[in-house]
Amino acid sequence: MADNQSSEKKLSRRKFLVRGGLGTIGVLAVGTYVLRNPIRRAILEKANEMDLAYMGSTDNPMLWFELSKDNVVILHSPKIEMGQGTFTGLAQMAADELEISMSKIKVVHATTATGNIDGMSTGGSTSISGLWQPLRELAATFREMMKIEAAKKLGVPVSELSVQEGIVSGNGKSLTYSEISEGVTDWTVPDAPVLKDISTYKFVGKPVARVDLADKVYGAPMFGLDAEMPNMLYGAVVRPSKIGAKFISATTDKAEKMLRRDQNCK
Amino acid sequence: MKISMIVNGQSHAIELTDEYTPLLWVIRDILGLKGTKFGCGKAACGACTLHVDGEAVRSCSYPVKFAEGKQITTIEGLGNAENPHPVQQAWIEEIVPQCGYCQPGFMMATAALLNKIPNPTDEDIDNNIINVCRCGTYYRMRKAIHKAADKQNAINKINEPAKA
Repeated sequence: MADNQSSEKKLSRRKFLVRGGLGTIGVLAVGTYVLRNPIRRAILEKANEMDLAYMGSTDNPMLWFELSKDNVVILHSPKIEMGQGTFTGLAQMAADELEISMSKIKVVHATTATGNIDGMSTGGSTSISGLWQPLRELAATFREMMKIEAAKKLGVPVSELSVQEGIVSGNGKSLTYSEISEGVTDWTVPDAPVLKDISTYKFVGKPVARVDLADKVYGAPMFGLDAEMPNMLYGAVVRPSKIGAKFISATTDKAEKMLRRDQNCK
Repeated sequence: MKISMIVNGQSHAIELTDEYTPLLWVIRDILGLKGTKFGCGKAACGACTLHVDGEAVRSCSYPVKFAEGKQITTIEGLGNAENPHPVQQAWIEEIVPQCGYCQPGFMMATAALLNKIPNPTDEDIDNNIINVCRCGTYYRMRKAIHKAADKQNAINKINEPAKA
């Protein structure tokens, strides 16, 4: 790998961060995640196993990246954005390795049903440091997979191809990522993606606009309370009027007749 | 019983068993407009703020029967990406939201304030925008409110000669 040395450095710095950190059980779990290379590899392996699923059209289940028809890369984040700027940081990291501008990358929360599940959750300031290596590797892998397919479609060797703004070009011909992915069912996954030199990054380490703001001012983001399932019922806790009251029984027949959304929609 | 009201320009007739159901639950759970949030449930935090006939109302504690025949505006009706409200524009420019949960309530409260006080002073803001934000976005919010006021006044100026 191109920056093996710098990745070693990163890991030792992470050790420091964890040891010097909060020292709670939660942080220990995070430390396990950060320090265990096999888990990092497993993330990558799992992602690679699921090429078809996550690189298909927008309505397919996917793991990390999804391509829209207008060549926007949708990054399915395993980390929660709650105002700390994680989506923006992940977008910066991914955009630089994907060779695509920040405006052409959209970050969404991965779903537990179809997406990449991060058992270590979000916390301890580990989202960026923990995903620094795996996300860039995934993005670089994605970019190289695009180049390999582009080489076949354009009839130009991979070594003569270059990528700019999500467009792969060579020998005067070019295709967008979106065009490359059309009809591809059997992706070739390179073993070791070569990461770009950090000094050439256009977005990492530079001030960029937050990517999560627009949705938030229109009331669009889904919070836990906003989740809805078919025929979902709503409940509220009825609390006793006295301290130390003991539960004996409850009359629920009236509550059971109360409103349900499907009965009330006009 | 049936309640009729206009929400974001669309008329609705809603069948309810309890006329004291908070307007918030009708907006969120019956009409499916999830941008208006539930916070404290006792009209203290302002996350549920929306407009009833142009007035900022804390909908968690507002029985839906009082909305009969009225115009309701929620964050979804304030503006959208194609046609953002000056408050929403200012909120983006001043990078106000962090987690974003309480922000629709703040923006609705601000939009109502600017209709009453087009050039609010810091004191006006302190007295009128009394919602709660746990991320602590107040500092940027204050700047955004002033900016939104400027934007709205500029728009009003353009529209004035047309009225006269």
